[in-house]
Amino acid sequence: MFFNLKDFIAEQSEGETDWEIDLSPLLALMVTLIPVLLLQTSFATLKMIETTLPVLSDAEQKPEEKKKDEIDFNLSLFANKKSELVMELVVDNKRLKSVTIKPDGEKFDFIKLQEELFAVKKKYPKENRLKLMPGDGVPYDIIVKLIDSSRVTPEKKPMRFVSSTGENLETTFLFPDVVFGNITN
Amino acid sequence: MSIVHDIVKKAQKDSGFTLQLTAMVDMFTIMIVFLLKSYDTSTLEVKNVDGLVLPSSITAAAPEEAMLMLVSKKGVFLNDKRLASIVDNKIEAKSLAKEDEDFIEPLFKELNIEAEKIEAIAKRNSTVKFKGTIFMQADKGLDYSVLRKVMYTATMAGYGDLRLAALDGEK
Repeated sequence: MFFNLKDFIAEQSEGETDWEIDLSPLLALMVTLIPVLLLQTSFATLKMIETTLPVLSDAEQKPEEKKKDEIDFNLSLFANKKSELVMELVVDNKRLKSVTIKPDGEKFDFIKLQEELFAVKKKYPKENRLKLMPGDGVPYDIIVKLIDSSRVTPEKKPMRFVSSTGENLETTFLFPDVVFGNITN
Repeated sequence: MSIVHDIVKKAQKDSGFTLQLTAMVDMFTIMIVFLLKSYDTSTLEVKNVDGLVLPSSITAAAPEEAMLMLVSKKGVFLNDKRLASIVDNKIEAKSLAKEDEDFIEPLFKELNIEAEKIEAIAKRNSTVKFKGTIFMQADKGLDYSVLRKVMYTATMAGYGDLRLAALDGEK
């Protein structure tokens, strides 16, 4: 009475047995896994915006040596609680631009701001820093929106332009290095 | 694990019919895949604090481990310790220094203690270095005057690397 594989397969294929995979251990495993995973799952994705603050130091600071083609670029953005924005551009201690962006209704006009910033970016493509100077009374979520609007192009769409040196450039960034300029004032 | 197994087996034995588990296993498989996709091992989490709703940002990057500071509508917290109270979008006067109204004294002291702790570890372990990094979770409705005072105090305590927490606005 040896086990005959051929007969066994034939029996199985004829459907004479009601043999089934036992799924209950697998089900038990899943019932255990799901609560564990539910506890560890985060449904809101946390992100961060990096910025630097001026730090007081005892060490004597030497003025940085300026390279030949380097300019003293200073782009500031003021925001007040009346939803008004003022963008000021100072290059090598000369005020080149000062634009007031009136509110769009009662809200800040972020589209106009991005247009103005893009015009500056076109002229100074190597510069990345913007000093943000919100006034008292400006809510934090508006500050975050101002940072967003200053860092990237509208809807992160790449913008093409010809730089002052004649190069064809494409970028999704405006001024990604946003710092708070009025903390110690 | 054996409890579910036993219940299923008993039910099958008692009633004489086989419970069809295939559909349920299918459903659980989909759930597990979804949960694994959202699985997060980071210790940084959105704190469930009364009066704290984070703003959303489209340009924010993935967060890195840093000291957590919470600024809700009700107070300033460091390591779950309330250091100053906020009432009507203003920091209570008793927490502010008399000679400098932007300076939050209890926060400065606590930040200094934390910095000293890290520096003490750094003396024994060369891989540890005080970087002055703060991960700030602040309520989106807070006035800039409150945040400016918090940032000013952090600056005075030598914390120059500020990371602002935001929710992913692209999702």
